[in-house]
Amino acid sequence: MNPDESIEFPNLEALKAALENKTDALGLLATMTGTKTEILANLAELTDNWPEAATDTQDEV
Amino acid sequence: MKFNWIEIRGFRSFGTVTQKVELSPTFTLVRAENSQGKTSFSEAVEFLLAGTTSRRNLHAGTKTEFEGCLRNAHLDASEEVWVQAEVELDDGTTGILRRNLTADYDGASECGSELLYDGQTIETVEDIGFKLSGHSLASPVLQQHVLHYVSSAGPQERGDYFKALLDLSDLEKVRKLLTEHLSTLGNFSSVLLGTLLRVMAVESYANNTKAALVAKSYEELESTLIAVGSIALVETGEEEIFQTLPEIQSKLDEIVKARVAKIISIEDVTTAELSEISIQDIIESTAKYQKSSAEIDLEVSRLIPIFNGVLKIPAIEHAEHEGTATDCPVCGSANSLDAAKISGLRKSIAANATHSAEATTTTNTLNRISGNLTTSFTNLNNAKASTSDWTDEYKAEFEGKILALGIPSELVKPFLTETYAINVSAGALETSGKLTRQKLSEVIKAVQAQTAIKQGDIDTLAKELSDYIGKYEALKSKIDTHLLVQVQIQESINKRVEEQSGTKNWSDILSLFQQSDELFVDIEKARQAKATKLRYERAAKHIDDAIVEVFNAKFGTMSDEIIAWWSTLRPDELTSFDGVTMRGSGRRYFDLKAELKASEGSNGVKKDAVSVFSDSQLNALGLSAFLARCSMQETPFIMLDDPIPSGDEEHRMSFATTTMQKLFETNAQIIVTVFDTTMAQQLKDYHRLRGIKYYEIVLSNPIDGSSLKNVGDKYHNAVATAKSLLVNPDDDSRRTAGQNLRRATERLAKMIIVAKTIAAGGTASVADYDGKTIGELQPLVAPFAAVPAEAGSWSVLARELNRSDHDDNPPTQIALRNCFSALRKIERDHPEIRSITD
Repeated sequence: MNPDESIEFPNLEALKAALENKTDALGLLATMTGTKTEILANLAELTDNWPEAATDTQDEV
Repeated sequence: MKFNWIEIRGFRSFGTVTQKVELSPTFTLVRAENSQGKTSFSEAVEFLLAGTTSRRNLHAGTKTEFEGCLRNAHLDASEEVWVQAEVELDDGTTGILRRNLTADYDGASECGSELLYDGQTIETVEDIGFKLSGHSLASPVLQQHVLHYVSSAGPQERGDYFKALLDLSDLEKVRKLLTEHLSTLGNFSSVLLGTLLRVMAVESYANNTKAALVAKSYEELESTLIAVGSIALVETGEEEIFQTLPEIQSKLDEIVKARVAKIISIEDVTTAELSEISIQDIIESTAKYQKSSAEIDLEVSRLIPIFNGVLKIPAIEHAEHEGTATDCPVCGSANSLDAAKISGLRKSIAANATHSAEATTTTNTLNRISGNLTTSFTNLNNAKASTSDWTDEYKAEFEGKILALGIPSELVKPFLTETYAINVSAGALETSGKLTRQKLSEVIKAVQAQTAIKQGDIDTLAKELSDYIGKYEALKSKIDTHLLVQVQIQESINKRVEEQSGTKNWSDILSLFQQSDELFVDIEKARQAKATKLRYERAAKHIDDAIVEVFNAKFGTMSDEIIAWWSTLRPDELTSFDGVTMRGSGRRYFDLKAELKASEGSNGVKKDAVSVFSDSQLNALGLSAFLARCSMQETPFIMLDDPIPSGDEEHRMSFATTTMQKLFETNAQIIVTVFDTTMAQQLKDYHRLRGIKYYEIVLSNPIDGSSLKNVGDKYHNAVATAKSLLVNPDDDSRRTAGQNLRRATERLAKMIIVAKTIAAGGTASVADYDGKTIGELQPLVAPFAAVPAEAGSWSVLARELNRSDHDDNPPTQIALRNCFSALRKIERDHPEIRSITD
């Protein structure tokens, strides 16, 4: 993957549909736009701001 | 998207005369005999789209055998080789897509090309929205040579083929991105957490420090630290119980110091860093003062107050104004003060004022230099170790204590020697510096008094200050080097002292006590990082599961789609394709399954298709997989190169009807090339109403190259029809074949006459000869014979083919074949007819 090249994800919608109410996973997929560099930055920003990470996932287990 | 036309120049069997194919938006059929350029044509289209040829890509073991195969072998190296097409995009706009061959295959090296769209370089046809498959078989062009590929490929290659078909490579990218980010999570560390882990390694503190590491509140952390401290105190025999962290910290600190002092006081030999100083240049600082000093007379300067008083006397001011002389008010000399003398007095006063100001400025600067010197003395004292008053005996005793700790003497002795030397150097430097400062003070006093100072004294002082600064900086550099060794010695000594004093890890414990607030912040950060990682891993696992779900759904669709295409090719057979299955639980290898039934309606037996399918069935499977890929990827353009090999006559009809019908339902633009005239005829007959365009490829000679001829004309239609009937021995077929050959012969004769007439500068068209029979045309075409035997051929054709119109005696099969061969030879000998439109 080229760091500066925009990445297309034609199957992303099908993947999201398969995740139903898995909110964290859907949140991760929501970052998948732009270049590789941008996506990794989006992921970092998202996870840096996960409050109360230890307990927030109980609803989707 | 669709292609309106394709042009080819110099590619494989094509020559330097550009060949153009106007494409039908629905279906273009291209027929050619063997070795005429059919594969060259389909590979030219593949080259345009993918910049490579799948035939070479999929035959990994024979790559070198394709060296130089893209350029026409008879073409000069300077000739351009390219393929281009007019593309009509979905928005109705058109552009020219062109690929120039820049380097042919060379050994195992790939070919090179440049791709242009309307003259602008683009990377791939995907840049204009034409989707390629992520596989060696990238373009929607299926060469006859790779029909077998899906069944003959190795497990890995077959897996790649189907994965590309599934078009899920983007989900692999999702997975890679998530994995890459995961590597950055859960790794929080800090100095304090490292300290906590060191304390945890001591067995008696382990439980409480483990509890500290997971403390959820500061109070919880504090209580665990108190427990650790209490254990340490109990181990010392301390009986008093302390309740708070500061109390325990204070007690531990006290005990540590007392115990360490019994062993060694390392602080005594600790040298500190020597701070930098900055001292101004004294020559520069005193230069202006020296100059103003030279401009005044010291004797006169003492009289300045008197001069000021004199000049304020009104009589003096009057005399100065009027330019007359007056009596001196000081000495009483008559008329002694004239205008010139009064002016001289004023100049003296001004010069003295300047000098006074310079004295003030210079005094301030010199005081700053003196102050900096004093600071440097403080720095020297601060840097020195506290060993100045040590006797030699005490030094020896101290050294003995350090050595007794087990620190190597080769490390200790030079260290102590250097420590003492630094102290001596610092002391000596301070002494010399103070003498210099004394001399500086005398200069300052002189300047303050605005008295003259000798330049020689200033120069000497400047040299002393320069020497001082040089020595100061040299000592600083020496101390910096010494400090590196000192850190090493200190760490060793601290460790040994802790061990010997029974206070192992106490410095760590005290660090934790002193920075308990920061420690709790770090614990929180570490917990957050770990929890974030766990949460992330859980979310990533959900995504992984979803990827499998999407994969399985698409996989099922793919398998069904292949079966659907198979059913159009091989309907109602007892041995059928049953689907694609994943091998085991993985998604790497795929099996092709066949179902074998003993009779219609019976239960089938499942087997691997590769082992039970005939060659013909494997071809059908390869074609089905390819067509499934095209329909799943909604490819706008599909090209099939001889999809039903000759010899598989029974399935030509099912392809020409059912498979083609399903293909048309995909709305793709279709090109099919065939060798077989019967199949060509069937395709034309069944799809006549679809706006079909029909071309033939003819290779008259290899140097001119293949030419593409639109044969929606009577000549080629008649030839094609006749050829399809040559194999049938019955009278009706022979009669129909003969009639078609006669029509073709008449047409060919007319085309030759017209071409030759035009070449000689005349005007003519095929329509001019409408209604003329072969007998009437024979004398007209005879003068244009390309070879002497051609006249005889025309006679034979006229004689034999005239029989076709008689009901009772059609030409024999042998006669028909001879006529067919003679006709094609005449056609080949007259390339000029290609320019004649029908």
